[in-house]
Amino acid sequence: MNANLANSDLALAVRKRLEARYRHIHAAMADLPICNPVLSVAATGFRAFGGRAFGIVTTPMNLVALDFPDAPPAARAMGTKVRIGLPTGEVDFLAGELDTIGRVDSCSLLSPVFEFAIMEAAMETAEEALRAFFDPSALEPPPPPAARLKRRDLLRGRFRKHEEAMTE
Amino acid sequence: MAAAETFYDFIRRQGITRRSFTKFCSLTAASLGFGPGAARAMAMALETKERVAVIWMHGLECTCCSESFIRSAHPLVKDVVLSMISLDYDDTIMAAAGDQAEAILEETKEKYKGKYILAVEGNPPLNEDGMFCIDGGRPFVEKLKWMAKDAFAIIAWGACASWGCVQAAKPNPTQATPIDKVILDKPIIKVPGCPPIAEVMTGVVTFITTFGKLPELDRQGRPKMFYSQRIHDKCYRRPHYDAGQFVEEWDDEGARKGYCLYKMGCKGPTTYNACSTIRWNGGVSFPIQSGHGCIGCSEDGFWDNGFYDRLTNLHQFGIEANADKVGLTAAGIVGGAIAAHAAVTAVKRVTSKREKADA
Repeated sequence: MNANLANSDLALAVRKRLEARYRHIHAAMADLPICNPVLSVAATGFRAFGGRAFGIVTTPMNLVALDFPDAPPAARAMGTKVRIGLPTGEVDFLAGELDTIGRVDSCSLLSPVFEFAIMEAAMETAEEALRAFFDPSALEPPPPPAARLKRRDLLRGRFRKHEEAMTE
Repeated sequence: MAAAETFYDFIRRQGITRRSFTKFCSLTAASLGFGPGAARAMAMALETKERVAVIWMHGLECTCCSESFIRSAHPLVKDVVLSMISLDYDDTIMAAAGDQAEAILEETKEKYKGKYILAVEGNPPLNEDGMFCIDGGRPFVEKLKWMAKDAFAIIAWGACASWGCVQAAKPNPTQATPIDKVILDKPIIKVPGCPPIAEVMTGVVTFITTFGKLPELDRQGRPKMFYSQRIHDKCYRRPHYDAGQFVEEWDDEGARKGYCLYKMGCKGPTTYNACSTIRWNGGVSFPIQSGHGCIGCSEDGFWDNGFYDRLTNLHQFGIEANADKVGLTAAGIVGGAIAAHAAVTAVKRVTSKREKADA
């Protein structure tokens, strides 16, 4: 979990290890009523991002965005807030740790996840969420129509500014 | 008698400086989640609009709402918000007593007809014609209906007024009834919790008295600004839940390490409140941080759910029914536009805009 994550092959390796880890966790939680039996463990879209790996894991318990920072595991107490800048905005993650993986910051998106009738729907939601995290326009309302020039603007000097902007 | 005294006139008369007043406006605007522009709007409203009278009544209750309220960490609450309220009527903290106190109600009804806020702590018991709660010589339910008639809006403080709370727990011998089942013709804002968080209470009362309208409410009538987050989603022990690390019994290794309390009956996954973000006692701690599961005190019927019974059927608890933001049906998502909507909703919920972070 360090600077080498710029290499996307490593991001793939992270993904494999994560899936294995979460399958293990799920095995211990399978009898709890918080699991949706139609779902299984899958990691979506793990990628290198600013010296860290980022992606979403779907499990029968939850849909959670994970971030692997370039920091030693003991740098922060578990459960403290970590603010991470993503293209779409600032997102608060909670610092945590997973056995065999190390330091992982997580941000819960949905939990529990009984609303999913099939695994594909959960995967699709994970992909859409990932797209929303990396596409700043995904959360924006459609831009307002371009301001129309009013005759009165001529008196306020806005007309000239408009002209200048157009010619640039 | 000045007919249109503003809140600003009033606090200036009490010796509060203009500097303190503007500070109060900006702090309150921030605690309500508004930007700096709202602080100016707030100052303007408080300077120009007629002061809004608040009447605070007590039915069947334990006064924990009042106890919470007067401990708000908001630095100027004791100076500003309390003087805004005690002036009119509050059985617990007003100076007046007996006939003199009851006369205030008559006077307020007359003078501020249709304009005052009625804040109700506790609820009326309806059994035996309301004889289980007598206030000022008559059943509380009568007094409540009488005061509600000319109110502009009603604040239902705490789980008692909102849902019924312990006095309405099974078998509910006094037939304690939440106020929205008794008052049907007035806007009611529910501020549940046992008690509600102090800063939430002062935030709500300040919003209404300042802007003269109710804040945006969810489907259950609670202000969205404080009740749209689930304890579970913002809980600092969440990483343990995600990692499958649970406290299995009190005082085990997991309890010492601060693992997730779900198996010990924590109601965080079905409770909507701001405890895990605003916290208590000026942000010091909240129940889960002290090692005890959430008892879900801001949810309907929490006394009957068993504080230590593990949440078993999460469908039955109606997660989706409570969460306005995740507008999903229990029928199930199979993909397509609904999956995309769910994704964008979830991402929006966790993302804050960069401009706001800088401001």
